[in-house]
Amino acid sequence: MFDTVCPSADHEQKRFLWAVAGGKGGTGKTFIAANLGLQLSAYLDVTLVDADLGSPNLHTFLGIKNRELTLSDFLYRRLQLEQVASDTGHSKLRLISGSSESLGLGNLQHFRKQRMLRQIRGLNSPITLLDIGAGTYFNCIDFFIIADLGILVINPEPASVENAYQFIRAATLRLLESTIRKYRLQHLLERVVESRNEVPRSIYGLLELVAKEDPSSADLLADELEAFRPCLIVNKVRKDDDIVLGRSVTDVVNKFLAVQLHFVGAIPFDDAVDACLKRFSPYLMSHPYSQTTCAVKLIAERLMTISRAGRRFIPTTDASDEEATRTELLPSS
Amino acid sequence: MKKLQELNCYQVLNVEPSGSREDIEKAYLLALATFRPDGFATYSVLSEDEREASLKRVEQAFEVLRDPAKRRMYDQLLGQAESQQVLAGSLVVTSGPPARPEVNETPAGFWRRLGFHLRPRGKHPDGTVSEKAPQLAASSLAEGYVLSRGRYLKTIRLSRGIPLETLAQNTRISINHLRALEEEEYGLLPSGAYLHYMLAAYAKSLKLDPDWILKDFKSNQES
Repeated sequence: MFDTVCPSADHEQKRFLWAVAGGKGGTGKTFIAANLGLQLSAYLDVTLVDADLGSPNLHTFLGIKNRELTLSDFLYRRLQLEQVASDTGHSKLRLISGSSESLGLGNLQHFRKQRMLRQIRGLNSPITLLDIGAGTYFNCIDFFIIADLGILVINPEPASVENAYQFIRAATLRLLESTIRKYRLQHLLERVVESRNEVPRSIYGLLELVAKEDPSSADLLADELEAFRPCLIVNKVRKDDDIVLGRSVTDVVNKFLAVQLHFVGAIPFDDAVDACLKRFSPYLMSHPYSQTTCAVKLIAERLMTISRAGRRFIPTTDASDEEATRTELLPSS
Repeated sequence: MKKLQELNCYQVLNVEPSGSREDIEKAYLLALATFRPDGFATYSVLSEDEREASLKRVEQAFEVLRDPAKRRMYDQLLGQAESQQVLAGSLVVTSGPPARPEVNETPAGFWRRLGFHLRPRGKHPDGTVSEKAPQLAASSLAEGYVLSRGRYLKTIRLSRGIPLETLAQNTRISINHLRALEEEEYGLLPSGAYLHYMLAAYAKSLKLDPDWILKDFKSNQES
């Protein structure tokens, strides 16, 4: 049913952990997580994890109404994470769904969260896709920064863009903080914590401060930062300008937030998405040839390429690539 | 990871140094879209002033790269800057008979033909050491290379080891005026014809073609 590019026979079977976040709510993260999962499950085993603990929706986008085992069972009833992974009715796609039962889930205790992070990393699945909640809380950011590939979703409007920048800044600081803890550079911890509470000091400023005190640690932090390479998706685009916004935001992040963001694609708005959700019918299944679906497939392919290249991946500034995307994705007006 | 000020013109526009004319134009349009006043791509990251400054930087970068001749000169200097030599030293002109641009020769070609090469800062071959030559940092190249600008003329003068007093004597121009020219304090100079006269005299005494320098200066004044 899906025309996909099958992975080459000799590609090494590694496990990849992806996380989809948005900063702001309603950008379409869950839609993207669900449909990326569906698309990839055509040729790889995929485990979807609903890490939006406060308001889980992943199961709804997959058309699943009844769930037997959920994250509550893992967190409070001592089951292992693998044990609560359920079938979705689609082959090769499993779901670890969130729970609406336990009220404490939105404010998870530290040790429970650590256990969850550990077991997510340990999941035996070629692709694990996390759907992360909205906001810049640690519960969102921490799941984002443990991923091999972080995917940020924005909509072409200023509130979403602003929250995305906020998310990136918060994630960067959190990353630096966790690096400091990992390498036990406690003396630097104050600097980072100060940064969070002050009027946002630029990351460059922070690194310069650190470099003055301790140049080798500054190098270490810069290396960690260099390895943090999230990808950007602009969702619900309706016109050319919206796609260009993706490039602009990428440029701003690269130049001013000291993070190597990579623009992987734009997904057109489609009324049918909402209609499918109301019918509890997964969008990709009922609209396999829409422009929105084509965009999702293209992005899935790009993300796989990036994942496989790992640190060797270098984004190219290819204007011609942009042209191709534009003509494919936009409906003829 | 570099700050905006440290980026060269290509990096500002996110274009490969081997980019074509079309690539550069596309990149410029994209950069305009990013930093335009009514856009929101910089919302919450840059203040209005910062956004304006970034836009200006984009315009400057495009000014350099859109003109093939300027771009060639820029590339040459960039290559030289990256090999760490420009930071250390001055541009040295081989001494020789006065040079004139040939028919149809571009400024870049003229520049190359004069045989610019680099030498680390230190002594001029004849042993004189004059004041420190101004450093041509890679970032200053981003402002657009204009040969007839005062500071570049000063660089050439210093690389030949000619003190300002000697130049003042040879050209019969007041040393204060020459200093103002080199520091580009054009406000301190009587304007118009006298400035042109000064430039021509300065160029002649440095064995640079005065007509060409004047033409270069005039065309840059206009832009």
